[in-house]
Amino acid sequence: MRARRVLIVALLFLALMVPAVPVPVVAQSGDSITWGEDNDLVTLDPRVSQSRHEAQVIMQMFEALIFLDTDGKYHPWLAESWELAKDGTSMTFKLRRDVKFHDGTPFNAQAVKFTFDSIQDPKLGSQAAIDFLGPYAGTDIVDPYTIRIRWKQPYSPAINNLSNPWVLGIVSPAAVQRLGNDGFARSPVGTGPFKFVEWVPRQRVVLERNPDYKWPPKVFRNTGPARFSRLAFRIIPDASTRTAALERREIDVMDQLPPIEVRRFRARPDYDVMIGDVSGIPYGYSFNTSREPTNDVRVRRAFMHAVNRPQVVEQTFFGAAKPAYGPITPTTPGYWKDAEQYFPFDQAKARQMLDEAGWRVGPGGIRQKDGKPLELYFPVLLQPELAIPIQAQVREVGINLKVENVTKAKQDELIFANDYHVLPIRWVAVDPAVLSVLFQSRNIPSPGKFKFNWNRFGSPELDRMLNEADGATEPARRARLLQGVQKFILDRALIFPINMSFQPVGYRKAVTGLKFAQGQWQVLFYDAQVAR
Amino acid sequence: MAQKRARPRSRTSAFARRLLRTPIAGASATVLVLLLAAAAFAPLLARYDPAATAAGPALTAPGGAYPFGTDRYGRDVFSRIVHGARVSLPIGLAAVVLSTVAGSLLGLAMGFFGGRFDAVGSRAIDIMLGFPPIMLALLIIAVLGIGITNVILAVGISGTPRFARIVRGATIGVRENVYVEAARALGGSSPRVLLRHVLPNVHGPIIVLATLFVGRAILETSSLGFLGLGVQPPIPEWGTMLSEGREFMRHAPWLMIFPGAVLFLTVVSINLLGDFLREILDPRLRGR
Repeated sequence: MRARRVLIVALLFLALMVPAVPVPVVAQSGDSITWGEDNDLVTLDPRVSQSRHEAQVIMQMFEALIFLDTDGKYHPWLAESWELAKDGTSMTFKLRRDVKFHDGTPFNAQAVKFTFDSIQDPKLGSQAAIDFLGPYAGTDIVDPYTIRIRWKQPYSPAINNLSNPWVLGIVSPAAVQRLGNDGFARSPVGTGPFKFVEWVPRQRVVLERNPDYKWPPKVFRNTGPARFSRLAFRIIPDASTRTAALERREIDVMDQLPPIEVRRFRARPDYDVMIGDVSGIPYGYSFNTSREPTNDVRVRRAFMHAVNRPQVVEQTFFGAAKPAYGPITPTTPGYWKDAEQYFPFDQAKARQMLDEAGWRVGPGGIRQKDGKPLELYFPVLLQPELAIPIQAQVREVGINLKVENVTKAKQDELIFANDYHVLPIRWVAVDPAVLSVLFQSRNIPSPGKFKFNWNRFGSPELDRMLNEADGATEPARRARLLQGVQKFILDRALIFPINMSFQPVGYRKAVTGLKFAQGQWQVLFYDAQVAR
Repeated sequence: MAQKRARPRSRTSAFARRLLRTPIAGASATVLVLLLAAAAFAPLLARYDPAATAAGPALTAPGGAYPFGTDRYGRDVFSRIVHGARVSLPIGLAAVVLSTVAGSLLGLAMGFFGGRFDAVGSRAIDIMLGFPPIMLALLIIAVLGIGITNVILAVGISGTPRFARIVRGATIGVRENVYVEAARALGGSSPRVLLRHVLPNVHGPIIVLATLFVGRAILETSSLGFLGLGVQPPIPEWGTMLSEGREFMRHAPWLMIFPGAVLFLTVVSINLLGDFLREILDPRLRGR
């Protein structure tokens, strides 16, 4: 009897608790779009951010001087026109006169100067923008709507970098002064088609339509305010949870749809998928040229010939990714198409190269030289699923790829200690100047100095070629110099490009007008609409 | 002396007779024998090299040439599970041996010598028992790094305090017995008294705990594998296989079902057998 009474009380108690549990209600009217994001955010200040995930939100609120579309064409944006000085060390911009920040203050030359000058302030802690400004010397206000940006030396990435709203987006000086840098990062004010409403860390960011917006670049169909009122970003790190949320219509669009889901969603009448072939450095393996046996170019070349790239990439990513052949992707300006001729799948050639290098087949099919097995240590952090078929294929020619799944901390430790033979890398970027990040000898990591030249090929010749390309402001000349750089890198087999980074975005077909931003990672929502 | 030696022998035969009379324990033992046989004859049972990608088309459903289906790389799941028995079982056993030996020695010493050594040791064990074992194992992996040896060490060390605690208690009970005092009075050195007179009288709980621990050790090894901290590719290990299959749960459920089922069967069988052993060896339960 007593037990039953306890049970009844307990059940009543439980029943009372139910309404107290907050149920997150997502507005599902045709007036709102929700994006499922796979990564958490730290800052929403474009001057500080270095995260392509933060960029997904920042790009809806901030605008740059120039708009660069996915075909590599430039369009007027906050600047009506621009001109590069003959000596390549300065650019002059005529600014639009009808633009207002979300806080009502006017956009003008002073705002541009404030944005770029404040990036130089070490107290701000700029992570990417300061690099994007390059050898910045200052901004002159010619008149209230004309500015001149100066560099200490000719800087060819300038035009691409100034087109990047998630890094060099123009901020409201009044808001920064009112909120301070930290406050601004949590409550940002820009000029874009959406304005900030709220940010609940690790859960969501909510934006609303900017009703005064009327200055989009010409690439959009829309010319006035956005066609829907509320844009939300929900943080859902687990891919299968995010996929389930899309199927339950809790979200309308999601990033990083798992490759195996791509075909299924494409086959459904109410869903579709768009895949961005992300620009920059493709996913690939950096060979450590400073350690035996990967210091031997024949070993590196043999490794690359041993792998059937199209097959491995197709199988691992279920057709959602494309193989890559050059050190930059075809979606990056300056891509050298001849890279595709390099290192076709040819295991006979791989075996012959290893024979010539003195590596003879030993017990278990693993090659040996002077009693030492041909063993390459491969700590893998990015795309570990690709390591397994590649391990199997290089084994066929006698290379033992010792795969070890590592944490970021362990990887960094191995980088500092120069303790690896092969290391996976990729870099999402819009400008080919990113090649310097991976191949300049000053970017070889050393203890305490985290850099990305993981192939550790220190060559004055390559440094000079990279510097020349970065300083060549004349496009045709720059393209020619960049070709030379790409050829140099492939001739020496410094990196094994494997697949283009890809961004499969799954969405409900009720949502139309989604558009990839430059770089093909982020999606722009300005043209979007939801069927009611 | 002679009597003492005769007792375990009669116990062994009684054990075998009872095992055969108890259906659940008999079934568990059969499952384990089959698993051990599978591990021993893996190359004969498995039709494919467990590391061979493209042994068949990727993500083939179970049946025909691939009784347990294939994974995303076209590797044969059955071959991988059979070969995985050669990885998961020995790692689990090695970890248990480590826990048993280290824990028993520590427990014996603490219980036998008492005093400050026991006080400090017991507090250390309390602290270690304060962590869930998997957390302790994760901590050890974080310090030592990834690899088979480190997995054994991590799982083994994380199980040590439980052995030490139980053996210590049993030793304290035995320590005061007349025969121990007699052995001491006859001038037996401490190690000799410990190993010849105390240990034989506390081995019951050690054996039971060790048996029950095998299941947990295999499970913990697999948990580490599931978290990507265990055995590295291309070596097949059940927990790692479960983890790799997670992404394909709705497209290729066999990638999780089969490793999961084998893991489950193994652990359940070992635990049932452990329960059975406890019934036989625990004097308080005997004769009920």
